[in-house]
Amino acid sequence: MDEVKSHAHAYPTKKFFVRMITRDIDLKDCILDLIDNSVDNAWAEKGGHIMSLRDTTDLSDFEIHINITNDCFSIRDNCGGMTLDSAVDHAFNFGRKEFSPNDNYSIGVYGIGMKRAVFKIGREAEVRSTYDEGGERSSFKVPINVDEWVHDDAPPWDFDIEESSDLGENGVEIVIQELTEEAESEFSSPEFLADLRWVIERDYTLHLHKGLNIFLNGKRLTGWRVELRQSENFRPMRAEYNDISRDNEVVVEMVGGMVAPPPESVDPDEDSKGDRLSGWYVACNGRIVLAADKTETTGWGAEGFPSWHKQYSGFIGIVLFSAQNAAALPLTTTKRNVNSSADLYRRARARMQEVSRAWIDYTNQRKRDTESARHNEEASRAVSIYDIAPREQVQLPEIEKKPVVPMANVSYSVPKTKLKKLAREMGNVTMSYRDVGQKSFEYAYEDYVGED
Amino acid sequence: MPSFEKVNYSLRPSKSIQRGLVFEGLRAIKERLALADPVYIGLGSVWFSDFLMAHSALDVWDMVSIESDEIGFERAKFNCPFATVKVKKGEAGVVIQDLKNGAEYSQRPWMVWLDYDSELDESVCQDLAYLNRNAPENSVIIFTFNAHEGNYGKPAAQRRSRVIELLGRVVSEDEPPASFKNKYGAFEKRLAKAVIDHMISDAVKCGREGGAVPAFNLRYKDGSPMVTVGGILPSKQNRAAAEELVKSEHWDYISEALIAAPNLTLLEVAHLQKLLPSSAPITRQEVQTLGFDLSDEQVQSFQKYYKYFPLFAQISA
Repeated sequence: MDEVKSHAHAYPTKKFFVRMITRDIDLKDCILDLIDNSVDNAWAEKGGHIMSLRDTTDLSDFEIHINITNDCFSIRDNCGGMTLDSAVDHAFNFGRKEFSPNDNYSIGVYGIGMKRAVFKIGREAEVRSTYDEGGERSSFKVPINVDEWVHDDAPPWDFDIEESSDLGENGVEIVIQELTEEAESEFSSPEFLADLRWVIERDYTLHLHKGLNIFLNGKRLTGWRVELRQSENFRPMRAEYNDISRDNEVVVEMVGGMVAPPPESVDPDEDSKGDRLSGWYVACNGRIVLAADKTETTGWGAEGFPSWHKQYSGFIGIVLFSAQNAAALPLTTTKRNVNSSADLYRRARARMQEVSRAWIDYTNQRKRDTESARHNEEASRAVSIYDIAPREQVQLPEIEKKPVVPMANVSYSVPKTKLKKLAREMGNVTMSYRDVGQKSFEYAYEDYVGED
Repeated sequence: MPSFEKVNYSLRPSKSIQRGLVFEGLRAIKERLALADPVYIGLGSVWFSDFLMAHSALDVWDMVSIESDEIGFERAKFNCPFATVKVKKGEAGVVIQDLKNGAEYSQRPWMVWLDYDSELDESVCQDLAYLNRNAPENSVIIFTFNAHEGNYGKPAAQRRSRVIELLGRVVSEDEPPASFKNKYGAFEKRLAKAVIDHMISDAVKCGREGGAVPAFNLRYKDGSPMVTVGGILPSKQNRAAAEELVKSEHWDYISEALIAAPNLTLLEVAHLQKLLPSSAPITRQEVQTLGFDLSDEQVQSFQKYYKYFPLFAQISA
């Protein structure tokens, strides 16, 4: 065989690379990757330590500004900036080098987020950084023209670093223009922007709670207030344990309980905000990566466990994994799911299922006497997850079996528009279908039958 | 009660002005996007006021009027003004689906104006969603609905919940209730914006390459406050032209101003028209020198819309 043909080429092309790394990630998650970089810098500035629920680190000095228009995306922070060494050695590399002891409880782990975000959002970008080194401010910029960059596949794959004027404060600014078709289309959608706002408020709720300032198109975002209900009968669980993953210590915290009374109606047609928020939340180093999950990933419908049902609405559980080395966390590269085959995660899931099981049993039991159950539930008060006392198991009331009065279930369909008009005339246009039916029955009963 | 039993559509001055504006806008869109052989789809009732304009102002031939009422359908057929108008019986949502599934209209741009007199409800939203997702490329869809705040619950916070229930996340649950009070038409404007935002978002969500370009946002009041909103669903190639058109200085069909036309006699209109056109605002004093009087708002409204101002007279035998 001819010597020059004894090896098949196996080099990747840049175009293939760009296409592949951007294919399986949502545009919103790419934006979150950029926020993660800012958050990691802010956290490092504060010494980089475990972000537990009881941690009181103040992040109020830090600001992240995201601006999105139909033809431009930008993110700017004052979180200390990226050093030139970091830019040369790590930040623009595809994939991360091995764990360094400086990785102090960061969210970024795969070393791909910024590049992937740039490729996903646009074709023309400029990354600027201003930072302190030896008491002096230094700045640089990295212009990226994606079309030009992908043109030449020959190694080394690098980006030119240029001199730059200083930013107002030490931090990073990324401006992306010449938007991709996907970004241009999504950025024009008010619903996309509303969703993005909600996702940021939810997924960085721990950081926002510590005072971090995130602005989206000039509007300051407020963290999602997660509160569980507590009373003599209801007590959420809050537990903490240490585990080991890939020879790294991981701290696992778990909180779970009732966020709202279970629904009176389990009609699948009736939209319920409670149901949308219910389920398990998983956070890795403070950032929520899985939200309101009701799937096998968090134990529902797995190994003989019941699948999620609307009856279980009103339950929220949160599990937080924290590790100095983010590679030990059960994170996927998109940070929008967990690696459910990781042993660390499986061990946690077994405990999560215990909490879910207690709630399932309670929602079954409460059918025995929904009236007193509701009375108990409404008597509970909302307590912030940060203020919940440690407790290994969730406490839920025992419901006594009441003497059974034979009941009849009434079920009928009416045009939605008519039902809404009736609800409006009954004094609350957003009244549940069940309540409209109940009130209608009471009205008709009173009219036809009168007092019992 | 069917709407044609309540009111003769042609006798409402603000409505007439709004209709004139809508058709002027539609004509500009048709010209700019060079829409070939469009189909007009509307709720012609027994009066067909919009159909008369679609034919005369837009030179549209094929038109479909939708009528759900049994008697109304027979009367509509009887009153049908042109040979090329087809009256279809059924609910708007069902008839539109039939039009989309049939070969005759499914490949041509539609100009749809669903001019309801009822409030925005689940069924109107369903029609909006269907059209947004299924109308052929380069169609224009317009909706008119009653925006009286009482139809959406009270107090303001409940009204906000109702709008979220209808239109989803384009309205935030923590938005101040003030926008949902009807001071100075705030609720009407907020509702119109929510429908437009929903329309844009939905077009993106369903993968329309050209998206949705808002083109109409008008408020008028003859009795109840009414809102007319709509947009173009351009092809990808036509998106830039559509955007440029609606952003142009002369695009008068997205307006915060309320159309509230004064009721004027033929004689008053004739005298006022003699002062127009004029680039300077007509003053109340000028009107007084004509021998009668109007409020400042009435004078301004007449000057703004005089070209569309209807004249009514009784014809007696």
